[in-house]
Amino acid sequence: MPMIEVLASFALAVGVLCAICGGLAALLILADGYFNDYGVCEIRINDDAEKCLKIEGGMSLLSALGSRKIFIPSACGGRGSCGLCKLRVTEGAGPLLPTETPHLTPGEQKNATRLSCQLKVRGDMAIEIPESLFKIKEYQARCEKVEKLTHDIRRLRFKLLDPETISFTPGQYIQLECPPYRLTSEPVYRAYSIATDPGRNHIVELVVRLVPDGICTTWIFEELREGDQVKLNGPYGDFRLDTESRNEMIFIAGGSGMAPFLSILKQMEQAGDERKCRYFFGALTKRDLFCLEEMRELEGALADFKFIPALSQPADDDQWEGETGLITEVVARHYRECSSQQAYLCGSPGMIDACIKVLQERKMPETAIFYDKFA
Amino acid sequence: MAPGVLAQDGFLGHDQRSLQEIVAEDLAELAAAEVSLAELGEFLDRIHQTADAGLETTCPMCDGALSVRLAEGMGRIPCPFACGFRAHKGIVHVQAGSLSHRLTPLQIHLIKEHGFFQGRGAPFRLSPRQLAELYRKCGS
Repeated sequence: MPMIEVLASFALAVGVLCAICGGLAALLILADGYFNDYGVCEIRINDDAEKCLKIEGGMSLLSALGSRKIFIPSACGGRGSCGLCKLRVTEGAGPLLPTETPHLTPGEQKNATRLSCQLKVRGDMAIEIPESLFKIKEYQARCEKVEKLTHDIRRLRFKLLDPETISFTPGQYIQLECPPYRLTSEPVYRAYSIATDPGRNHIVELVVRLVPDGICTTWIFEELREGDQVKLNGPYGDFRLDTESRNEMIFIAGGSGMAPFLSILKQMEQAGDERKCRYFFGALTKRDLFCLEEMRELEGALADFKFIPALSQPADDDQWEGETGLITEVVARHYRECSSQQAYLCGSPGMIDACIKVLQERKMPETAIFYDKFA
Repeated sequence: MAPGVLAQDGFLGHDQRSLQEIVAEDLAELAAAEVSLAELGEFLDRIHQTADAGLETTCPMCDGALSVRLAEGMGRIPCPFACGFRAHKGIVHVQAGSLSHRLTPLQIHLIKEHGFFQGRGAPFRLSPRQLAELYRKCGS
């Protein structure tokens, strides 16, 4: 067979194959549009006729509510790993999904609690949302300052543009939207504690530690520039100072766990809080310490406050004369008994769990321990 | 197992083998290295516990043959076998001489409970041979 005929047969075969594949793809797209067209769905909230949403079906319940400015807490941005976006769905939820069950206790599964990031809106639904969540707003903001605090920690300052002010309680957190970039094709949200002086309600400050390969922190460290516009939503969370108590307070944090305490200490300063307060801050080496000057100023401004930094692995050239050891060991050295103190903890789950163990061994009641676990 | 909502890169990498084939071949490789799955599971647990107790500091293990450090992340990730286990996100950095490895709490669970070392090319795959070598560095 001449070469030209071989090539023509080959080209014909390729052409037929491409046509079949193209046809199948078109069929799939049409089928997808047909089978996944859920039309307009009605979401009734808290059996309140004024809180009834009409939403195009197909997206997750979390996204659907977010599109109507109803923000449900979600530290992982809808990836089903934090388990924070639980809601009661009393009608129209369908069967539990395998991606939900690991996050739900048997009791929650029984009382129709669902993970709103995993649940798709496929028809009319009735849901229950705590009234407090309706106060959560979305903010347009401009990044005013990116401050390098350590080799892997940045402080970000955002000026609020719309709305121009925020009302929050020191200790609460906010979600920052990371826009699509090389590590994500869709916006993702991450939760960060608010580090702002509560008297400055036109800005939001965050303290962020780089997570290697982390989607949002990589964006913050490599892409975010002063002047960029961002979206925030919040505030969320129940971690806050017990302002009724007069007991001595023990603050314990490490790394970016510093953030809520920057806000809480300013709150104490402005309220003239005279309680005894000891703040234990754990770091590996001297280069991991930050905000030392701010802490010294607060020691002068507050009636009975001491900042106690501790290094767990001081470098040879650190010339460190302060506390050393794991933060749990340092706290244990300072307190034989903690039955009359309160503790406020912020940091990694391991650190929080280890601190709770030490405090409870020293007779601190469970009700006197407040924490914000990065979990 | 495939890339998706729970794990951006999935657990199979570029491996073309079926899940059953991956598990069977890896368990055979581990057996050939003369380490049992129970021994390896106990060893990996010990690494995790040592690193966890270190609160992000670097901790020596096995008379200094290994050093381990846990970098904790936010959130939990459910086991893809849907067994109900939810692992804390985090990475245990293991240094064995000039070799460095990364282990995650979920990866340890997958190996220990499901004999699944993940597919070739998966970001957190460590082969049975690599782990058996690490095990031997600790004097078994």
